[in-house]
Parts: sequence; structure tokens; C-alpha cells
Amino acid sequence: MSVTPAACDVGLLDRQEEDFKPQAAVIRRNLFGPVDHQQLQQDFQRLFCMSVENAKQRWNFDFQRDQPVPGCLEWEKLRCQDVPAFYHSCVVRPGMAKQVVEAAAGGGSCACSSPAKATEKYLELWTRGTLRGTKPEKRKAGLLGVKRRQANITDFFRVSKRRFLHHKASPGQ
Amino acid sequence: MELLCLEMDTIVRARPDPNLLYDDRVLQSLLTIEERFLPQCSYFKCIQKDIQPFMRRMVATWMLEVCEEQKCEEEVFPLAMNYLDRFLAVVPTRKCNLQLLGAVCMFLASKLKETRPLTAEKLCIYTDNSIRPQELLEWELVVLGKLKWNLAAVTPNDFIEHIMRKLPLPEDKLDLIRKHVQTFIALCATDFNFAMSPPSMIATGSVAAAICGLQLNSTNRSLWGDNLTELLAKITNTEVDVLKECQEQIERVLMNNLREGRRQQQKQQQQEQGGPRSKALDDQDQSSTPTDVRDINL
Repeated sequence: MSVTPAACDVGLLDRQEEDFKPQAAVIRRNLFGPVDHQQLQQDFQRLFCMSVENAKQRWNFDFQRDQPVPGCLEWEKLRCQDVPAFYHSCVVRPGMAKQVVEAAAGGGSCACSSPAKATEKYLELWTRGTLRGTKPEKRKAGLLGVKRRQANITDFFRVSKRRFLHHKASPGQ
Repeated sequence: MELLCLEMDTIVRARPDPNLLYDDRVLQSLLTIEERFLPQCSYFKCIQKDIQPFMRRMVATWMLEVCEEQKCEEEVFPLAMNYLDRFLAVVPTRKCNLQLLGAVCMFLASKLKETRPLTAEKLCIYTDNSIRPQELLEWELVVLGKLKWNLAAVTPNDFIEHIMRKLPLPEDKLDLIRKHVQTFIALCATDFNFAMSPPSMIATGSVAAAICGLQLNSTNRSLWGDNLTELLAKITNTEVDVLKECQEQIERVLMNNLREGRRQQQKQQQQEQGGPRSKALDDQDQSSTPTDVRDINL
């Protein structure tokens, strides 16, 4: 979304002005003077990077690059169909990505606008080695993983790209 | 087979669930977990340098007005204030970003509690466009992270029905009592003195204040003075003295607000001589988030 603030404001006022009753004019106010947008952006970047860094340390996983980093957890890549259907939220299997995307682009049933984008959207499901049994040939790394506490759902997977709302078309069919 | 579409342009609300409201385990669980959602510290002393208590009141008043104007569900405002306090208890924040934070907290609370949540665009307009929707969405992520995504906080509103059903209250007054209790709870949320109090205590104190304020205790012996306080204290495992103190504090806050409201009204009348503004203020009663405390008689 790259609407300039000015254009954005005008559009909004057109669309939503009718929602604003007379007393809304009183409520609609700036409380503490002008906002320094540049400063705000810097503050946001600082806090956001901090939280990303915390998550990286905690899970020893680089969420921005989508890669594990060294640490006490071992990460393994799993195929979609190796995890329970409950976790499926994608329609494209990595191996079949191209075909399906082409088909979808032709049929117009795909939610994404361009095939280039669509190829990115298959799910990568990651899981901890000791917690999920995977086939030996798929193992990148050895066992391990320090079991510190009861596992959360978030321990098992992460949705990396896009999420689809319809679950009907699960992969591997 | 005919298909009927009964979808209407009304807000969908879940009906009160007797399985939840008439089960004491639910109340006990609420009492057990409520402390987890309190702010970590009294942040004006230890965390914040730029922000002062009166600024919290300013942003809270604005948030309440927005919630009321947009007819948000009652829990939205207290929940948003819970987010705001928890965030401020961990992140030093600039004064000029406080309104943005308030908007983000309303945005989140509304999404959690409403079938038709407030939009980012609307909230930005209420800040007089001092912030942009994009900024609101970015800060949403930051606030979520700092709250550790624990959004389903316990609010005083969660206790209202649990408390009220255990009191011998006249059937025909229930709606009125409920409305007054909600008003007191909203009032407490605007006042920093209550920010560290457990929600159950605020709820209990508000019920007590509402019953006393409506003078219902004169019709029923068991609701008389100390009896009422003891009964209420037992329901939420609160100390009687602490509860009394809480109720008195709520009544003090109400008195201050009424006085402030009257002063502002007079100022307005002097300025506008009964212009369209005073009419607009009278209309505010219809929203479901109650701010109008002027109709409460003590």
C-alpha cells in the first residue's frame, strides 16, 4: 500500500464523512501536537528489530531469511503432507508449484495476482526434529533439541508466506 | 427448497451463555488468572519520562469518546486501556506518540471483541489525521509483540454477571444496574489509580457503588450497607476493608467527574448560549459505552 498521505486523507473523507456526526468533530482531535513521522518510523524500526531479534534468539531461527541459525534447537524441513491436515493452509505443494500456479492463473481461481507472486506462496512447515517423526532421508540435521517445557503449536510450524482461507484444496491430491 | 437470507444490517451478538455464567468454576478461573494481565509496574515512577498521569487521562477520555461515538461494545474501552497500561509499563514512550498508542489499543481491543471492528482509517481520522493508517498497522505489530500476543485479558466487565446473579436484586432494575456498573468501570479505566487494581475488585466496587447510588439497598434488608459489602467481598474473595476503600474511591472519582462535567457544561453554555453543541451532548446516551455519568444520582 503506497498511497500518499494527502491522497489517502481525501479519499477517506469522501468515503467516511457520513459516519461522522456533529459531535464527532469535537472528538476528532489531535491531543499532543504534531507527530514527528520520521522519529516515529525510527522508533518503530528500533522496536520492531528488537522483537525480531528476540524471536530469533528464542527460537534460533532467522524469521526474516526463513532460515535456522545455530542454537539449541534443531530445525527440520517437512513437506506439507507430512504434517496433520489441520496445519495445511496452502493449495500449492513445493514440487508442483509451477503446474498448479499455471492452472490457477488460467482458471482465475487463484487469489494471487501474478504467477511470480504465487510461486512464493507455498507453505514451508518447519518442525523440531525430536518432536515430529520424519523420514530419515529428509533429515538435514541430527536429533536433539532441548526439551524445556510442554510444546506449543507454534513450536511445530510457522507459516512463512501467505495464508489461504479455504482449506478444501489441500495438497497431495 | 427455498433459501432464506435473513442477514440484516445489525450487529451480531452472542447471547449470554448460562453454561458460563452459572458455573462457579468460571468465576474461580477468572479470579485465578486475572493477575496475569495487570501492568508490571506503576510506570509513571519507573519507566516513563515524557508521559505524565494527566496525559493518560487525556488519551483515556479521548478513547472513551471514540468508543462511545462508534457504539463499541462495553468491554472494548476497558480492554484497550489494559493494553495501553501494559505497553506503557514496559516501553518508554514519547508524549507525541501516546495518541497513536491509544488508537492502536482500541484497534486491537475492537478486533478481539466486536463483530464489526473499528477500521484503521476511522481511527486515524479521530486523531485528526495526525497519524497514518500505515503507522497504525506497524505499531499494531509492536504492541502485539510487547503484550506477547496475550490479548484476551480479564476485564472488570467479565465479572459483572457473575456478581450480579448472586445478589438479591429486583428483576426490573437489572438493566439499569448493569448500565451504571459499566459506567463506573469505564470511569475507573480512565483513572490511573485503578490501573494496578485487580479487575474483580473494580467490578465488585462498581457494583457496590451502583447499588448504593441507586439506593436499592433501602428496599432490601440484605442489601443494606455492611451486609452488601460483606456479601460482595465473599463473592470475589476480596477483603472487606479493601472493597470499602475501593468503593469510596470510585465514588470520589465520580464526584470529581461530575463536577468537571458541570464546569465544562457551564463553560459551553456561556460560550455558545445553547447552540447546537448542547443538543449533541444530550444525544450521547444512546451509545452502549456509557460515559454519561450525569444521570447517576448519589
